[in-house]
Amino acid sequence: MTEQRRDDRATDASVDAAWRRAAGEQPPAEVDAAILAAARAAVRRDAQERRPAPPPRRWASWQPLAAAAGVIGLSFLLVQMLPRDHLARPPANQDASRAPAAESAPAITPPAAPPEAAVTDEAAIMSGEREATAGAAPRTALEAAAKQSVAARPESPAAWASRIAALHDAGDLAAAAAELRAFRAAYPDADDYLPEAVRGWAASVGHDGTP
Amino acid sequence: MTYIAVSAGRADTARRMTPADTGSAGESDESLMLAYARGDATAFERLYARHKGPTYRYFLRHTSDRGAADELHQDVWLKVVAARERYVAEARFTTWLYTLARHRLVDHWRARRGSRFTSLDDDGDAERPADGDAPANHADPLGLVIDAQAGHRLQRALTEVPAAQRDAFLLHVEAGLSLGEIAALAGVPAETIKSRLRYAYRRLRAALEDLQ
Repeated sequence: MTEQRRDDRATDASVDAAWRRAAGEQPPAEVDAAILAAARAAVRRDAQERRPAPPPRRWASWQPLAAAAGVIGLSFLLVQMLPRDHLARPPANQDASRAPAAESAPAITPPAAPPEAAVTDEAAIMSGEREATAGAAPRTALEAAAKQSVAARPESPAAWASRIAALHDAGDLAAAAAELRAFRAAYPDADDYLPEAVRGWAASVGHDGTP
Repeated sequence: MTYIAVSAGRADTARRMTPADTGSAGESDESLMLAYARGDATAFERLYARHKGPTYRYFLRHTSDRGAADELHQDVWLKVVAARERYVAEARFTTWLYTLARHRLVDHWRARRGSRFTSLDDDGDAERPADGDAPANHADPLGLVIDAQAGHRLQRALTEVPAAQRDAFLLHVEAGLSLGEIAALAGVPAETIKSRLRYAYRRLRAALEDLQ
């Protein structure tokens, strides 16, 4: 009965114990070494793959800002190096629009005052330059020139010279002389724009307001 | 050194306890495998030291061929290394390890078409004689002789046990798997495994009868 019950059991501790006492084989050392070497190599490979990319250099984050600052500085320098003439001259389209008007208008017509909105930074620059270049011109002439320059702006030197010549030809010598003084105050080389026919008269017009 | 814990009257709870299970090593197989997956090579060394004997003997007892056992043992552990990042500790590490081992063994038999073994599910197969390995060391000379004789007889008897029964026995006694775990691994009902174990133990017990 006891033997029958023992046979019915799925396992037997005495057999297990005998088995373990008898079975002690281990894998050969070279097999152990190969397996452990493969395991270590796999870990090293993983470590290399997981290694993070080197951190960016400290100055690298400033590169975009430095580049932007460089571009801005270079642009500023280029603007500063541009010739000032083109700033002093009115835009070509305005010249073109004014020239026919000056030709068609009567010679005695004073220059039309531009609307207030037309007074721009460019005009301020022009008036500043004119003051600076006026040199030894009398204060009254300078003030008149300044007023005239603002009023006459943006008349070109050629148109201005033509108008003076027209006043001279019409016999209004006083008005022509006043215009000439204002013209000279605005343009140091004003006489060069005058037609040959009036240069003799212009030479008789003094810079101090006396004919 | 491993320990067997067998609960009285319930064979399906029988389980080999590793030092980790008893707490003496402080780390479970699963935590060691996960540590290895994170790059701790020493964790693998401890895990391998813990399981290399049982896996090697599993193959040796099935093949009775040291060369084949060397090759299969190495292949399985290299698969463990290769699968380290895919390992998920959902089941016992041992179950996962012997699933790999069992598949590798079946592949081995399939590759050797001249072999009589093509399946671990065939309860009627028998194997060629064992080559008789050396028994474990023993302090008592008389005990050494008895153990050596017992070892030879058990190994010889095991070769005469059908492959499926032998597999169930080795998974139980070497891998320390429970009846339920062996059944899940083999894909058969627990009652089938219980029956296979019962037949295997009966044959092995008969081989030891005149020594007791």
